[in-house]
Amino acid sequence: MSHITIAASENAFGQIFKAARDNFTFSKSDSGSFGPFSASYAVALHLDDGTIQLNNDNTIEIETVDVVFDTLTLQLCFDLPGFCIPSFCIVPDPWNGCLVGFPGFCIGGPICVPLDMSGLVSEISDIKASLLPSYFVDPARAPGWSDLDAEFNGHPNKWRIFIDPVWVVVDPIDIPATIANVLENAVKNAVNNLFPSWLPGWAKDLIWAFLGPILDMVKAALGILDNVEDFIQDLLGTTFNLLGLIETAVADYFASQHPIYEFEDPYPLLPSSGGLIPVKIPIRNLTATVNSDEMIILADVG
Amino acid sequence: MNMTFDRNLFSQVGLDSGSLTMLGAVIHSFHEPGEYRGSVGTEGEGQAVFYISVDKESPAAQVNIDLAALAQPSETAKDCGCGEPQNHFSVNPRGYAVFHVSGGAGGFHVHVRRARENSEEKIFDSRNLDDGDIFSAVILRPGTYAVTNAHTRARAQIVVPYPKVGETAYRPPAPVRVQATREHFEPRRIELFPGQGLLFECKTASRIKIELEKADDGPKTPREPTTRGWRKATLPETDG
Repeated sequence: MSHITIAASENAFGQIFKAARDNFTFSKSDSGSFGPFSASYAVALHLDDGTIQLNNDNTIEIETVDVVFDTLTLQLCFDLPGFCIPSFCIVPDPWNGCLVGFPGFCIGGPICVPLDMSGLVSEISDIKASLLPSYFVDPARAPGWSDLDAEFNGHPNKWRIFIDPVWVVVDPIDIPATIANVLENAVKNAVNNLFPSWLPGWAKDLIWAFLGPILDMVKAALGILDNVEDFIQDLLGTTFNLLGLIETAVADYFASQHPIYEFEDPYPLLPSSGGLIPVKIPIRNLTATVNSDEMIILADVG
Repeated sequence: MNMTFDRNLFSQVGLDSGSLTMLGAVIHSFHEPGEYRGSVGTEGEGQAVFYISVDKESPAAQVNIDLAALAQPSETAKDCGCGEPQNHFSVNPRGYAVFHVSGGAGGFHVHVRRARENSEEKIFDSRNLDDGDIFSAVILRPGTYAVTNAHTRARAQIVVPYPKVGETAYRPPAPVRVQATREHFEPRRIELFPGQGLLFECKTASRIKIELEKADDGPKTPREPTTRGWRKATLPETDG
């Protein structure tokens, strides 16, 4: 029988999880070139809500945790098509081809459009985990220190208990269909901003005519076969692997960065007072398990 | 962002086959093999020299000769970072030389003669196009234009409508061909779309000028493409 038993109800465990969840943040930015266009993104997020369930098979199930994107910006850069005054045939050849053509020339170049999707919420649909006790030797502890020296210097060894995920599943970012309108307006603004002030109105209208319906033009330029929201969802989630990065960050955070519970080893039973040194007991053989009612931590003194 | 608009494309609304700008080009076939010497110049300005080898062995059916690059080599070289421009060209006798202007204000004319001068040899001068030469023009600015042949007094009219944003991206149709004969242009009234090519096939001595007579500035409000989807209609204000 173990010397020490600590238990936390499912409710209390939920509060412990909540504290760990609220400390999680993730930020990342990246860019890439994908043939006809290039893209870059910046993301910063935190977690919110979620339900937790302890199971008799010593597993923890965490569901419906909101992934709140405090920052989610995407910039798309591509060449505007349709600005070229097309070359045309001056002297045809006898085989319905062209012997001599007008060289033609192009107006314009690449444009970049920013899309701000900050505030979107996705979801961690499922985290399956178990508890993982881990012994932490403070790297700042000097080799010659006793346990008392380590405590006095603020670098004691610790027992830590982590939530060790077996899997983490983040749902695809639910990009709203209105993003198509946002993209369309962003392109219009970008093109308008590129017009020099001296450009006459008829020339602007001619360029708009060359560009045609903006959304169709953008979809053609970016190679969007279906709808814009699916394209952006796929670009962020799969091409940039943002979902995978979030899943890995969440798993790494719970499994090794943020313990849900920790205590010193040797454990200070009585603090130092009146010139007496503190009373500390060494903790050994620590285990952490759950059942459907509670979390149980067992350990020996020795 | 790297977006460039050459102001000359939108500010030079007239064209002149004897004073070439970005929207105009002259096409000439030399027919006779040999070495030719050409010069490019503007009114009152110095000239740049180039050479054309008209060679039966040449595979080139078309040689593009950029007058801007020849006349202003330092500016062109600065723009493209490619050093001194080429000034020796080659074309097949059955091929064509296309004299065009890739950028800048232009205003160039071209004069080509045999490298070894022969006073009896026919020469080419873009200010005096002749039978077989072609003047290629592109008109961007909507409006009504007068076309004249300075050597024959023949006249024609061009109407270019205001561009519309349609269901699909606008692409100009195939070029319109016009015969420039001693008596007249055929057709005499030309309906052209913005950016559509216009080819004057010279049958007589020609210097073709296109001048804007009446501009078409289209609707009063900018005709930007509208965003798709439902929009709440703006109701007229009512009294009381």
